[in-house]
Amino acid sequence: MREVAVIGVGMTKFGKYIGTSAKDLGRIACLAALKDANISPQKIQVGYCGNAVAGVMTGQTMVLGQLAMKEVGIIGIPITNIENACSSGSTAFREGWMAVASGMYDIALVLGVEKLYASDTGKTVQALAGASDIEIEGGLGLIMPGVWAMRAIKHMEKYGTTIDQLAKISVKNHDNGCLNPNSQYQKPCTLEEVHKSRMIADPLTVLHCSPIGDGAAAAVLCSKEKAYQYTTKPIFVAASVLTTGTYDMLRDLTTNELETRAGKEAYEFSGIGPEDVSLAEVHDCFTIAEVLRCESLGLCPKGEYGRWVDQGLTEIDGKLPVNPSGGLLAKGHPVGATGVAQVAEVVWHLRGEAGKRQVKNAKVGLTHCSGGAILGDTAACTVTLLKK
Amino acid sequence: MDGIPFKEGFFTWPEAPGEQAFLLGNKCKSCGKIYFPKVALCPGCLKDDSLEELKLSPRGKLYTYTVVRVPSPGFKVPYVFGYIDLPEGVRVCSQISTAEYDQLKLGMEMEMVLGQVREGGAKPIIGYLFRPVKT
Repeated sequence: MREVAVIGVGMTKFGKYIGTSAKDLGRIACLAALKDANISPQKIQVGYCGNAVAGVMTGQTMVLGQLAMKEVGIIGIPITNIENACSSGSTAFREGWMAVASGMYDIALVLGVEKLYASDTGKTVQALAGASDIEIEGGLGLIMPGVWAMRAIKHMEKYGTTIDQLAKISVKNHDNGCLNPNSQYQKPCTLEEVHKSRMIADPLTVLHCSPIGDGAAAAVLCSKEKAYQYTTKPIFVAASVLTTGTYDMLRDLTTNELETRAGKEAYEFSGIGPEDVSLAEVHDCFTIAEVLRCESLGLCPKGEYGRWVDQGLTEIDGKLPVNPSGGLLAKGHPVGATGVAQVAEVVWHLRGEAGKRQVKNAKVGLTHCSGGAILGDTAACTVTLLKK
Repeated sequence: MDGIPFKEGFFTWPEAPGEQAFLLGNKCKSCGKIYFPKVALCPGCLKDDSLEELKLSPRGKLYTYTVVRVPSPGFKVPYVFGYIDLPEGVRVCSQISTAEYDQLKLGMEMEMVLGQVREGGAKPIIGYLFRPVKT
C-alpha cells in the first residue's frame, strides 16, 4: 500500500433540483472536483460512482457513473457503479483509495450522487425502505425514524440522555448549516421549535430527522508521488475502512458494534487515535444517531455525548467539532452523495478553506457513514481518516 | 381469522378460535443456535438437514419501543412498534397492541397475539403483535 492524497473536491449545493437529472448533478460535482484539482479529465485513470436509488427514483437503473463522467470527458477507462445504501458514496471513495493505494492506478475520480425529491414523498420513502429486508421489517410497519426513536428511548433509559440534549444537536447542526453555502438548510432553529415541530416517532420530531434532498459530490485521488504536480495542499487518506454488521439478535442498541470495530480498524491502520481527531463529520441521519456514532467510534465516552453537547464541546470552537458542515440534519442527505460530501468538508477544513465554519488548526478529520438496517443491525459502515 | 397471513411460515395459524399462536423459528441441531425468522441453512454450520422447526415462546420482555406518527401505505397512525426479547435469545420486532402508551415500560412482560398488521386489498394482512401481559 502507498500513500494517497485527495487533490481535488467539489459538490453541488444540496437541496431540491426539479428538472436537473442525476447525470447533471454528477457532471456539476465532477467538474468542480477536476477544476479544484487543476487536472484534465484525460489524466483520470479509474472512476467509481456511488448511488443508492436512482433506479427507483429516476428510472436510471444502470450506468449512471459512465453517463455523468462522460459529460466531463472521462471516457475509455474502467468505471464501476456502487450501491451500499447510505454508505454508497463513502464505499466508492474507499474503492478509489484502494485502486491508487494498491499501485494499480495513479489517479482516480470518485463521485457520489442522489436524487430523492419526488412530487409523491411516498415514492422516496418506499425507495429508502429498500435499505432493510423488504420481506420482514418494512412489512410490519418499521420505518427508519422508528428504528432511531427506539434507540433514543433505550439510550435515555440507560444513560439518562435527555430530549433537550438531543434537540440541542439539531440546533447546533442547523447553526452550522447557516455558515455553509452548500447546505440545504441555512436557517437556524430554536430548542422550542425542535420540541414543537411535528412528531414523527416518539420522542423524535421532524427537526430530529435529516431531510429529503438531491445533490452530488466528487473527489480526485492521487498517489503521493504525483500529488504535488497538481496541488500544494494535498490531504492524505490515513485510513478508509468498510465493514458490515454481525446481526447478533440481542445486541445493545445504545451502541453500534460495527462502528466501534470500523473505528478501531481505522485507528490501528493509521496510528491516529480518536483523541487526535480535530473534527468529525458523522452520519447524523437523526439527532440520536450523532450520539451513537460519536460514542461508538470512541470519540466520546459511552453515555457522555449528551453532556458534551450541553457543555458545547461539539460546537465548531469546541473540543470536538462534530458536523461543522451542518451534518445530514441541515446540510442534507442525498444518500449516495453524503459520504463524498463529508470527505469534501474535511478536506476544506484541513486546507483552511472552510470559510465561516472553519475549525481552527484542523490537522485530522474523521468521516463516518453507515447504511442499511438488517435485523436491527446496520448493513454497511465506513470510517475514513484524513490528515494534512 | 379472516385475512391474509403477513408471511407464510412465520407463525402458526390457529385451527380453533382462542387457540394460542406461536412464532416459528428454527434451531440448528449441530450448533444449537436458534433463528427467527427461519433460515434456509445455518450460516454458522452450512450443513444439510441440520435445522429443525421450533415454536418460540409466546412471551417475552419489551426491549424498547416507539409510537409511529407518520403513515406509510397500509398503516394507520398512530401505532406502537417495539422489540421484544424472547427467552430463546431471539429479538422480535413487532407492532405493540395497546392504546395506553403511557403504561408501557421497558422490560415489561409481553405476550403474542395474532391480529391485523396492515391493511391489504380486500382482506387485512394478519401477522403477530405483542401486548402487555395483564397482571
